[in-house]
Amino acid sequence: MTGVLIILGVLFAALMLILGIYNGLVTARNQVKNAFAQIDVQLKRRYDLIPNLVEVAKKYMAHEKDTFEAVVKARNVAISSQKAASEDPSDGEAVEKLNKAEGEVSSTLGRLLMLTENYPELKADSTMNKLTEELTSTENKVSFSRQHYNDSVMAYNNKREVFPNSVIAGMFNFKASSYFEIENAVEKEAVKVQL
Amino acid sequence: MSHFFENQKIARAKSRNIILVFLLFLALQLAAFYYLISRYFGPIFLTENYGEYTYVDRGYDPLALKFAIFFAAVLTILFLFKRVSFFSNPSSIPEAMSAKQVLSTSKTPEEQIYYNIVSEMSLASGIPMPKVYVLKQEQAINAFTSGYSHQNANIVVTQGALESFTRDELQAVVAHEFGHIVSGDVKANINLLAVYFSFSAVFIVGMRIFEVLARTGSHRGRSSKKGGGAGQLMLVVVAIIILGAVGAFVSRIISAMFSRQREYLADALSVQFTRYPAALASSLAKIRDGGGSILKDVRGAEVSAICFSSSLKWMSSVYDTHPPLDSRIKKIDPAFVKIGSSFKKRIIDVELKKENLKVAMSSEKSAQYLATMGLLTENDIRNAEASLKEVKDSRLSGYLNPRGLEPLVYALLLDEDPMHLAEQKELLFKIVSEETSHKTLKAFEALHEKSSLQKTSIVELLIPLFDQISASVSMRVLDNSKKLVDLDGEVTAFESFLYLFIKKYNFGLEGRGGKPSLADLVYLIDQMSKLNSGDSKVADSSCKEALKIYFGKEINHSKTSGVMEEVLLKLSNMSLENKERLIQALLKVITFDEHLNRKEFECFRIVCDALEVPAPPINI
Repeated sequence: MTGVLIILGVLFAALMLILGIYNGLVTARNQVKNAFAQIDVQLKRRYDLIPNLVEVAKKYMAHEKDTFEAVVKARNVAISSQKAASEDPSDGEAVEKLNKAEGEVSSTLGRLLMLTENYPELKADSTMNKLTEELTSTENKVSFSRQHYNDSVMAYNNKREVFPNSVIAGMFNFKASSYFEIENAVEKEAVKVQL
Repeated sequence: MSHFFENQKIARAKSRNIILVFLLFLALQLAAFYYLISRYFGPIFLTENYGEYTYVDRGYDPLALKFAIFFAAVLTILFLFKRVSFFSNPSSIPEAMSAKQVLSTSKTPEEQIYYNIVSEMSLASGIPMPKVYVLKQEQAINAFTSGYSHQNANIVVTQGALESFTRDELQAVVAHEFGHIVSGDVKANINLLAVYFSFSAVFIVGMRIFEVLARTGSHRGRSSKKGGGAGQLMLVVVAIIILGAVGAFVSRIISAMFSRQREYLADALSVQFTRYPAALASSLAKIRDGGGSILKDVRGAEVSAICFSSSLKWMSSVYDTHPPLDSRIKKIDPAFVKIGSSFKKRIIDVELKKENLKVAMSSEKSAQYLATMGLLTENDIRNAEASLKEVKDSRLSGYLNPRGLEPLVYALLLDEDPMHLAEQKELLFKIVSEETSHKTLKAFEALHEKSSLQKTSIVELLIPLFDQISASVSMRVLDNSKKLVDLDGEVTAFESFLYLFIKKYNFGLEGRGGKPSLADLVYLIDQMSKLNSGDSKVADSSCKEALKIYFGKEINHSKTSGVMEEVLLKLSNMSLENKERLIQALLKVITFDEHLNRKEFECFRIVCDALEVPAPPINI
């Protein structure tokens, strides 16, 4: 009788342990998903901001038409690849594609903002000032949400790989998440926003 | 890169150990109470109430145990009660301090930036957007967070912080507050505070009971001979008072220790969120270098532990809820302390001055003047370095450290005129400790032997030292310096020049009060001319000459008055041409008698400094 009780007890303890690990992994994975969703929100903010910025800047910099077109085009490409990536954040390929598109947006935006330097009237425009602060903040938000995503990925992957969690993760097919990495050399340089 | 993760780990482990020690202390406290009752007070009760049935038979003392349990229960109830009263009104602190809420629709640019920063940090930390407040009426630089969960947190910064921080610095500070939210420090601090209050309450109630007992006890003592029961109760009350006092004291110190570790943790978390340690370090340096973080409106201890930097003045560092700023900076960014902000500022100043010099040099006339003075060449820099080395090797080297700073500053301010010196000595012994006074006099003797160039070098060496002492000490040094300077009612130009020079570099007073007026400049030139040999006729004619150079005509300077401090502050606002002419005028004054004395030389340098134009070293 006692033997059966002991075996039952051990089984119960093992089950609780497995449950605990499983729940911990699910929580960490959800945090990664949530962090990714945050990047999405911020990227969308940036896409929304771009037309406004272009509108204001157009008034003063009529002959930089090519740059405007490049920014708008990069934005549209990024929007479509963002949709694909957000459907399944654990799909490494889609995420990489989005990374590339995002790099394009950042570099064209950077070029545009660099050009604004040459237009003193533009720099004095209060709407423009407000927009540049918004853009600085949005750029920060994009990078902070990526950073938080990476921090969450690190926490999740750490959790997934240590023993005995690795066994449970293998059993229930918890895939490794990939980090947000920057491919594009141009994007590695921070976009310089003058306030 | 993983430096801050490491720091987080250390701070977490240390604060956990502190809490463990504290729990151990609480257990010991109860054990001590049990022991006291059973060993000293219990037997007295026992003989009366229990007869022969003593606790020895049971292995424990039932009465003392009851007392101990009662004591623990009272403490717990007090703790819970205090805790509930703290937690019942979560958003009340910012509102009670009449902080203004900042919304996303805020119109002013600085509030807009502040709001954006908070939402950025909310993303970086993964915490829902807190409510954002600003303390409009506070000019001190500080920030804090309140609210007891991730969902209902508040972030509050002072107006002073909004005004004096750059965007990056403000971001680092806000990130630090998010660090407190993430690690749940508000809650932890309030729990510790509640323990402290319960012990204080026990102490206070114990004192009351003691007073009552003492009164009635003395009554009864006179009326009847049988006062034993009350006497024993009194002893128990004394035990309660002692334990209450010890408990309050220890919990206060422990919670301060805990809080200091949590500051390190929040700093490390801030770096994790911003990945920009230099911004956090420079924001702390701004507070250290004279910004000040002491709030006018201190709502007790409730916010002090969670502020960005100390909001209260503490009697001793044992009670301080924040580690010293320098050690925080060192932990965040070990490279930062070596290049303190004012030192950095000086490098920038030098660059700026070189630039100004180039412009000033463009006119031929000034080129001639300056050329005779010797330009700032490689050679001069080498000479200056050599003289610095000489100073460092001499007797004075012992003073070129944060401890020696105070006496050295006073020594520089002592007068060579024996009459005046005696007065200054007397004052010195009154306002500073005997040790400092003796050191000052020794430094004064050592200074005697130095050339004027070396003395100037010493002043240069002094400035970065101010970075290494606390703001309160440098305030004291300045205060005392002012007293020494003001002593004889007649402030000599040299004294006020030197005083201002030190003040300027420590507190960054620049370009205030607009451009100098005509009267200001006449006063300045007149004062400079009086530094000359003491011959009033020579002074008078040199002043006349100089005024002619500056104003192009004769100016009556017989009745001049002004405040040197204010005049000097205005100098940097002059136009470059006027600066150049002023330098020419002053050069005329100090070289009028073809003899350059130490005071003239140093004052000239200081004026140049105020003008933000380089003063080339002169070898005499």
